Amino acid sequence: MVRGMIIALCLVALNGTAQQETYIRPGLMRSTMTFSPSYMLNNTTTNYYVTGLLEGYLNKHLSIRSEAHYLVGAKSPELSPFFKNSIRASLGIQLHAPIGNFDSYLGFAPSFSVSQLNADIDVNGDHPFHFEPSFAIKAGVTYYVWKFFNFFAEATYYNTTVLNLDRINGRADELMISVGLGFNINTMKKR
Amino acid sequence: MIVLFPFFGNSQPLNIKKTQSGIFSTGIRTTISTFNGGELSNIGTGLGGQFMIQLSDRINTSWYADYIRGSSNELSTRTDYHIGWSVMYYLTKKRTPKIKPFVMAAHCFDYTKLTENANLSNSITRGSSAIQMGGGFHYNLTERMDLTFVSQYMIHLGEDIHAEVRNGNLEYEKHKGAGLEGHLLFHIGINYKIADLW
Repeated sequence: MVRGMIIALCLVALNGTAQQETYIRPGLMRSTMTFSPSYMLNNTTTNYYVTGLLEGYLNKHLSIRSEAHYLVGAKSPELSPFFKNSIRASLGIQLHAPIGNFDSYLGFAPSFSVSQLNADIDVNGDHPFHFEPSFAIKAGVTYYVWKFFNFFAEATYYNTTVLNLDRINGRADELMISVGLGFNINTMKKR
Repeated sequence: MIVLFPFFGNSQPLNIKKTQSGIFSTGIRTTISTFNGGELSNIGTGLGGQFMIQLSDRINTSWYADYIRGSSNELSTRTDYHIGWSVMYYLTKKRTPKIKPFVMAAHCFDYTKLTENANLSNSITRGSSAIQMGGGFHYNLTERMDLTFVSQYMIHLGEDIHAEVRNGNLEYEKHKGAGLEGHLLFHIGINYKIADLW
């Protein structure tokens, strides 16, 4: 499904590139909120996050981006999903290769997660919080369809290990997929 | 605010007053810590930040703090807090070549805590200082922003703490003296030059 959407984005982009004003330039700011399914790579859980992001283009090929993910649900064929609660946040950069209003990018972001695990219960019956450093690597595409809207699709790998766990595998790497509608605005005039 | 500051600041050229001395920058970094306690398998991941003040065309200083988490062994978790400073010697005087290599030496204060996974009240701590030597390079993305890659070895000057499993029980040990066991650290940082202060 995701591959189909990416191909569709590319076709729309190729069709529109020759006709439109180019929106990708220094000062472009984009933001969105979307739902992101996320596949855990070390167990069978699929997590569902609400994702919010804010990104600003320093030039056509470089942007700085902050992002946060809040776990709203999960499913697993096992007894219970890995996370009971989870929040992820990151701040990093993205390198872009724009063609007209079609943009493809790679990104790197130092990040952290705060989580509680279903299987991790202390002597008081509570689920302890775990604050863990992590990092994210991202690849994606965006097509800016108008001066205020864009369509995007991206995949993010989060490297995370939850520690201080007794007889629980704490590897919690995730592959997160985000697809949807984004909002953008040019905050600087074309030079 | 963190996103917006470089976003709008980037539209202004970085005004250099005389030399590169006085360039002030700040950033964040991810740390990978290997050879924790001499074991390659106990790899830690860290999150930290730094600011830099350049003292001459070839000398820069970095003031940093890191929070690193990793396994100590299969029954124990290690947490390291580092705060310190580095001196970097650039191999070129050019201000923003695409790649700007440097060698570096550093000193830091660190606080280490080992905690038993099955019993969080069973732990051992140590405060010490450490020295580091290494090298790296800035990959300049723009006049103001760079990716920085660093590799350095950290030697602790203080008591050594580690966890041992004996007869299935976890025991913590503390030994006086310095050794070559420490961390081999790799950093990937993102830095933004704010201004030339003098």
